[in-house]
Amino acid sequence: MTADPQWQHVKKLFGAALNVEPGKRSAFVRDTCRADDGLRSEVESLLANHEHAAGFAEGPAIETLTDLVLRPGDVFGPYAIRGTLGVGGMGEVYRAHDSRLQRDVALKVLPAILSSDPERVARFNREAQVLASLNHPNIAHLYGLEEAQGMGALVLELVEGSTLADRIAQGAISFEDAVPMARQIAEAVDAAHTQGIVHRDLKPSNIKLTSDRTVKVLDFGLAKALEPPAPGGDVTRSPTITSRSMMGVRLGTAAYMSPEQIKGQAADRRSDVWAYGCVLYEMLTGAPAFEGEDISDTFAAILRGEPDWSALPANVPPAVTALIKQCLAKDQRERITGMSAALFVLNALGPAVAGAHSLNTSARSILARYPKSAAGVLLLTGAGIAAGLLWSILGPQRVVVQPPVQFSVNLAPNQNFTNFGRHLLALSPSGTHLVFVADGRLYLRPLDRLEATPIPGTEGRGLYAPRGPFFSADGKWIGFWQGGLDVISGTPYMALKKVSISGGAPYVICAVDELPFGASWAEDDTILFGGRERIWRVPATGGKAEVLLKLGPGELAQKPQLLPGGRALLFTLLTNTLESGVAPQEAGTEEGVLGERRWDDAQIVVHSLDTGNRQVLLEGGTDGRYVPSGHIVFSYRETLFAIPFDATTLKVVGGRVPIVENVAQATATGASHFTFSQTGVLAYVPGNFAPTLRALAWVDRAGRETATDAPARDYTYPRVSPDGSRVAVTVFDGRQEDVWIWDLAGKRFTRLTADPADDRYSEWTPNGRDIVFASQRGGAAGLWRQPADGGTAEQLVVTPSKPRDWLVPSPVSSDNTRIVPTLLPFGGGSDLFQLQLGPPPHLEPLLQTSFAERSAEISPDRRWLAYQSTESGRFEIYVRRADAVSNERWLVSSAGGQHALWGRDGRELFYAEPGQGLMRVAVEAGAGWKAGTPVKLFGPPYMWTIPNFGGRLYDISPDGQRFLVLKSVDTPQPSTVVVVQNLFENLKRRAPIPR
Amino acid sequence: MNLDDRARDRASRVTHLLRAWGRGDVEARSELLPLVYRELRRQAVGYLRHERPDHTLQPTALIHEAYIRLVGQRRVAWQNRAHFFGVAAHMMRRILVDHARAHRAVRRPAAGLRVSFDAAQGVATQPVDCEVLLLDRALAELAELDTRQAHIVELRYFAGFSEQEIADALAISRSTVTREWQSARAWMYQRLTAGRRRGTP
Repeated sequence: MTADPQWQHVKKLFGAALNVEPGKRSAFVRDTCRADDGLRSEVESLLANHEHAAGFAEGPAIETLTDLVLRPGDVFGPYAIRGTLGVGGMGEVYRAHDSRLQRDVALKVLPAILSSDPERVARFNREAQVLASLNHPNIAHLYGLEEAQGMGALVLELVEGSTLADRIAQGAISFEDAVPMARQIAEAVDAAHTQGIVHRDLKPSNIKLTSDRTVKVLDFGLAKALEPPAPGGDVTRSPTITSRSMMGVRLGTAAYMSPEQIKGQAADRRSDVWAYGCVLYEMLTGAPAFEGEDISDTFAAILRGEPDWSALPANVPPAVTALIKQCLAKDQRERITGMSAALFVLNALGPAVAGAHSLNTSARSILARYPKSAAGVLLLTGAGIAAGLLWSILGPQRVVVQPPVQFSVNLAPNQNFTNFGRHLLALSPSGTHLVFVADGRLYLRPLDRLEATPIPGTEGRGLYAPRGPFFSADGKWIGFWQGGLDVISGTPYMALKKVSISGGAPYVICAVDELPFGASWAEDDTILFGGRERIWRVPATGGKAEVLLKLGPGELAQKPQLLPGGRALLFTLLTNTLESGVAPQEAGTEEGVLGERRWDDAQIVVHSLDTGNRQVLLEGGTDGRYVPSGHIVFSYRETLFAIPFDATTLKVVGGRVPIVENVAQATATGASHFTFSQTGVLAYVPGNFAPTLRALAWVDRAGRETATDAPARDYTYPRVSPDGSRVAVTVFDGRQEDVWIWDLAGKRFTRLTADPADDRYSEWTPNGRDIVFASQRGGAAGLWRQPADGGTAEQLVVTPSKPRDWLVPSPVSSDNTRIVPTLLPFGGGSDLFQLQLGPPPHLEPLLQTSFAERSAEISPDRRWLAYQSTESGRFEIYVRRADAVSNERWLVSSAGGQHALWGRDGRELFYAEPGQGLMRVAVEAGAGWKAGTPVKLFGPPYMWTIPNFGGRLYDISPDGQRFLVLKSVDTPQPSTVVVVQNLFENLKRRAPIPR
Repeated sequence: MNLDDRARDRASRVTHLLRAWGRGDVEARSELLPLVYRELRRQAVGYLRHERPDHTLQPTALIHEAYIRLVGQRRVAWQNRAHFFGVAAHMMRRILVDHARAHRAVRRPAAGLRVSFDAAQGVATQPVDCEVLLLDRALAELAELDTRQAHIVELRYFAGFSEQEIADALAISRSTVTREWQSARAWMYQRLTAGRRRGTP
């Protein structure tokens, strides 16, 4: 439950103020807010808006929506609105009278989104022109477009009469009555197809029956004209599915969607053929071909179910049954490609059902389009058309792609892998299907096809995207993790889910407390997953997860797998997570804690379930997995290795051999992006997910930026040397952090620190000779000093602290005697200390309260101390006397502030205001503290703060005219998957198993 | 299975899910949502299309009807009923927002808001969102500050519950509901008319 404390406070005062009579209100607010100007302005603003908001949000929402835009009597261009015909998936439809042509029309008002995007308008106009050219007795005519009052509308032929849906609701239609209707529908669809128009939304409610037994099909092609451009082919963009939510599908209309439409592929003529088959079936039986209790059931029925063929009446000829079956072939490549086959069958039926067209004329005209089939005509009689013969006349082509030995699967342009801190890939055991996580959902790519399709029901953004997919042992299911937000309590939850590869909504298997590090699906249909101090097991059918194995304190298991025989567990183990102190919420994200790369020290272990013994097989490796060729494959520093392993004796029987290099790996979570099938297919993401890159730039007081020519790196904490010739900066190279020095004139980088422990937060001494920095050497937070030209570092001070706590230095005082560092514990809170440089160095507490104080600096004249504190509820900049005898302090910022910096002459104080940018405060000379109001210098696009990072991210040049800032740089991410076949042969050759 | 059996079956399933959810079973909630949604949507869409004969319908009747249909007369602890109403209000919001988007974005522009959007341009060249869509957006931001307050707005504006009904459902005082609603409204109005993002509310 989110409850911002600041907001609660404002609300309370607002409510109290409302209880005071209006005349006395502002005095009341002034009194209760006292010195807090920010709070007072919030409450006053809220009160003012409360006055103005009269009439706003009054009525229940549903009332405001039931107003139609147009009412009878309104005039829309030359059309007089007479009444409402209905409210459909694409807008309201009105009956209107055309005053010029003296006829009634149907006016379909268009979504406003259409008119605001010129590209869409242009495309829509083109589509509409084509539609308007459709001139067929069975198609409701599009007369034109009309614009008035800032709205657009389609002017359509008004078709009076009931719909086919109404007719079917009264019961199944007799075969004799159904055929003429079916024929007309087929002719309408065929005519449109000939013009290149696909209906895409054919269904009984779109088919009108006029009183003289004529059929008219409505809404041809509008589906395509009105849809927004959909890059990936998204199920939720179909016009009958108006909502983006998973549950937004209207039940009645999902029933006519073809399998390829459900899977998110583009609809073409064959999708119309499918819908036609559904309609024909429903006309004859009175019930839909595919139905279910809810949308997922309906989808499941369409994708995997069969209509009840026995429901077709006995008097339906086998040829028609065969036709329906051919229309409803689930694979569109096996389906009839167009309406001609339907027309052929319907027209070739006996004279009793000739209807409006004579038998021979229509049959001949259709045959004329297929000269090759002339030989087949002689065999055709009304009742004797066999499905096979139909097939041979119109046989579709099958395309089979032979996969090569190695190939790449590319993501679509603008498509990106999601959450590379967790495993992105999964291969089915048979090696035929690849699953990957991109654009916040799971994609399925059969390796013999050319396209990946999104798996519906797996969508989510950011923290709610699916992660870590893995296949079931039988290859029919995909397990994955997905989080969400509980609607009522607002608490986040994380669940293990599974989805079938043939479609249908995902099922929840169980909920978990935190996102595990990898999972596997065992032969006995249980799922194993590992996390903090435990390995869990849950039945794949659902239920409660049980602890299979308890690990030691601070241990973390990744990707547990049951070895053949089921009596031993293989997994990757990290033993020192207590020291690393990774906060649980951050452990699963690539943002993680800066510098978390303990996975180089991980071990691959095997644990016998019989004896309870654990054995370390390998030191230094992650994502260990046993493959049927008799090897364990694992990753170490972005290279895949294989090592022969005997699964019976549980022993390694050879040396490790590198097999593939440059396999992307997430440093924060150790997740290496590769996956194997049981048949020797390997899929992996080559490259690396580039770490954050930033650029160092100069910005002058007016906000004009110039480059520094330093290369883009993962920089933090830049500091300009006192003479302005060099910049000391912290660089993270993917493994560790160190202090580097950039020479501005020579444009050269030199590394200052090289210790494997992290070194950060460099500050220059006033004479420019040494650098003071913070380090985690020795496993404790300390401050060190080292000559800037290189030389030995000496330790100044170290404090008893927990790992990942930092002692962040401040700029050195102008007389080179002291620093006011901040002790920044990992969990939060922080206190100020004073370090007398001596010698000998001496550290003592300076300011320790229950609030967080940090980022302090002594003024150039050494009289004042500027720092930030949360005592008001959020970080603000305060100033107090540097000798700190009294507790007197003055508030400098007004709407939040962090990371104060003194101007070189002490007449200005700068700081960063969240959401605003760099602020400047003029400081007046005098005995007491007097400062002006903050003024913004320039704005946001630079990095002012980083979460969990306690240091100031900007600095000022010696002449005070320019600021050194950090700027984020976009980096291209990997976007391919490489698939390699027959890797087991390769493994056996390069890492042979001794006999 | 005839209609009565099916209704009975479903009622017992929904009650079971509500109780399970009340006990903390997360899965039960995800199973419950589609049932509630489907029920509500059927009624709401019918209402929106003027297909209901009773145009004097109280909007909360939709949710109460859904409750009766889904849970029946069974005894369910008040907390579970509160859960249900909260879920239903949230679903109503989705249904109505979806409807507003799919149909026309330009409707009766929200009173008082049109002026501030158009002020700089004279006639609006961009369609102005209707009140439902604007509120939905502002509410999403408010929810980041105070989820309970956002629930109250959902119950009040999207589901049409009265302040007393909300107070009963959430077991808080009527005056608390009033204050929460008034401050939420003022805050959202402020956000919608401010044009530029300021710091905290």
